[in-house]
Amino acid sequence: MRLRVVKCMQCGSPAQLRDGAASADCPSCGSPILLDQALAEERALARRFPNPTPLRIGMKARFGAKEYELIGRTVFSMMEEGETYYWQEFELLAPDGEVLYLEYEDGHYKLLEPFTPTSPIGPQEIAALHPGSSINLDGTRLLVTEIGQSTLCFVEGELTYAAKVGSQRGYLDAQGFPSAYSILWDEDEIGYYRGRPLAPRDILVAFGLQQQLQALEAAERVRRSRNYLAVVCLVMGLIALIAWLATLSGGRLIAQDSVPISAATGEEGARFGPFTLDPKLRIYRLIVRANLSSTSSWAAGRLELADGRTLSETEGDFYDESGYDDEGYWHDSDLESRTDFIINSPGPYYVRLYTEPDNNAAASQMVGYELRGGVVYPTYLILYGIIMLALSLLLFLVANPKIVQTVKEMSEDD
Amino acid sequence: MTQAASLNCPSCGGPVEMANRFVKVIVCPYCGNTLAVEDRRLDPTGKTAALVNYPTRFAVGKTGRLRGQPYRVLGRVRYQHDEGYWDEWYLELGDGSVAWLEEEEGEYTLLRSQKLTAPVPPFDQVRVGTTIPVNGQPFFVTERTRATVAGAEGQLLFRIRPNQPVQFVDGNIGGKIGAIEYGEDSIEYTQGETIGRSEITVDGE
Repeated sequence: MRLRVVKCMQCGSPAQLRDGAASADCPSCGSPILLDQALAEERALARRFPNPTPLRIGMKARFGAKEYELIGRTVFSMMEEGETYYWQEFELLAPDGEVLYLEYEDGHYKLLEPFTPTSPIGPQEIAALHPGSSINLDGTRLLVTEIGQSTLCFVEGELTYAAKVGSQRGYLDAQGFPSAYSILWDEDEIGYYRGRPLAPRDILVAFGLQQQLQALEAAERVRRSRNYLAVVCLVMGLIALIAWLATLSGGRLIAQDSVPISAATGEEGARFGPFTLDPKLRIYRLIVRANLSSTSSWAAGRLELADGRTLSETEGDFYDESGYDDEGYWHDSDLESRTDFIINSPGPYYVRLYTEPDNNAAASQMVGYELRGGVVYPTYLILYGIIMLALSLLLFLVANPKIVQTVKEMSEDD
Repeated sequence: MTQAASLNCPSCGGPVEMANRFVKVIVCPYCGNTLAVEDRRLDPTGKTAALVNYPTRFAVGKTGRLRGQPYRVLGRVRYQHDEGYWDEWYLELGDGSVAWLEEEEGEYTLLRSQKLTAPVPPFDQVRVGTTIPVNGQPFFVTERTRATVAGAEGQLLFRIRPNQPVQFVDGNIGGKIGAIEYGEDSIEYTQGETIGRSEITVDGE
């Protein structure tokens, strides 16, 4: 023999339906109660305010040493700048009559209990506050995070108070460290609540939801491994960029020399060498450097084979100038040119310098070269570094979708 | 117990009473049939929540210790209002004094009578969130309630009449809890504090 208890739609009195019965008359007001209609209406409403959590009425949860039953769910809404935000409140009841309130919004849970503040504040004081203000209810400094007006949209199950859909109440949320605080008020009552934020994992443990817990842990593992990979990519990218910076020094010095500019003029220029180069020590670099002061000269450096064939060349119009203008003293110079090359055989090779000084002053000054080997070609490194950094950012964002959402919201706000 | 869902035994038609939601099986006191309760408690209109008949640790005659001091439950008054109900347990303490233990939505408040040394503002002039003077101290109003006496049992200090209207103004007075009760003939004042669940034990628990 089973009884089914429903509430009369007219007067709210509890009424019983015999097992299998589809309708009954309300024992208080006599109105007919149709079970199908009642269930259909309930389902339609529940579809409008779906429960985004795995928590369901009738579930048992353990907080501390006590077991509670989830008896009711309420959905509240608030409007801000034309958008409606919803949050859920669950009521938990222990067999000894203790009540806990579990709030859920946007992936975050808060477990709240009423408390008696030492310095209560009311709607009048709250009207002068705004997010960011600090308040003091129980001797600790609290930061106001949100103030608003909420509307009760939906109720399900049972509650310890007769919540009416459509009723409004003001709310203030504040953050202590680590406690969370809420003040709720309407015309007849003001209530103060204090509690702690709970991670979704703690909730699943408290409710003993093993399957969801395993899914959460699996998702956590994936997220952690993505974050780990992101860190590996970040480190590799940074190493590549540091290496790129290090190669700016330009490898190992193999030979260098300098002669007066006048010594490198003419058809022959000035020849240096021979040098035997190891093809494995790629990449090679030839740098021509003019040591000029307040004058200018053309200069070129060539890498040659023994028979005089040019393999690689670099040249430039080098100058060093200074003077005074409206802004005062200025100094400008361009004294260096370079070429990078690779070789297939050990040589021998020669370096030849040519100069064409613009005046006698330049002719007496110096021109020189540097031959370097083992230069790491920087383009590859910087490309590799950038790809690794991009990959690490991508992995990090995939692993932490909330950050993407926050950034999106912030850019929409702008 | 006006809040208990009253049902009739489907077998013999006799009235059966369900004390609270944690009851899953009722034995009909008339015919002895065992009834499993499949309690949907659904609210077909979705407009108001079903009000839970929440369980309590106390009953008239029970004894225990309140902050180490022995007590005995002498009586109980249940008040009902639009939004729900609450119980006040009348306690006799080990030192011979008496106090009220208010139980509302699972919260305990221990209240003792105090004399009002000066008049308090009338109920209709009191606003939630404002401060009124009570016995020379600022009394921050947290709740205004129009209630009725839903029922009573055991021994009480005063006569009660079912459906008798009562108005309450609750407040915070220097971190303590105060309650002004506007009765038909008199204004009573009680003051006290919240009692943690572990501070009160019930023998046999």
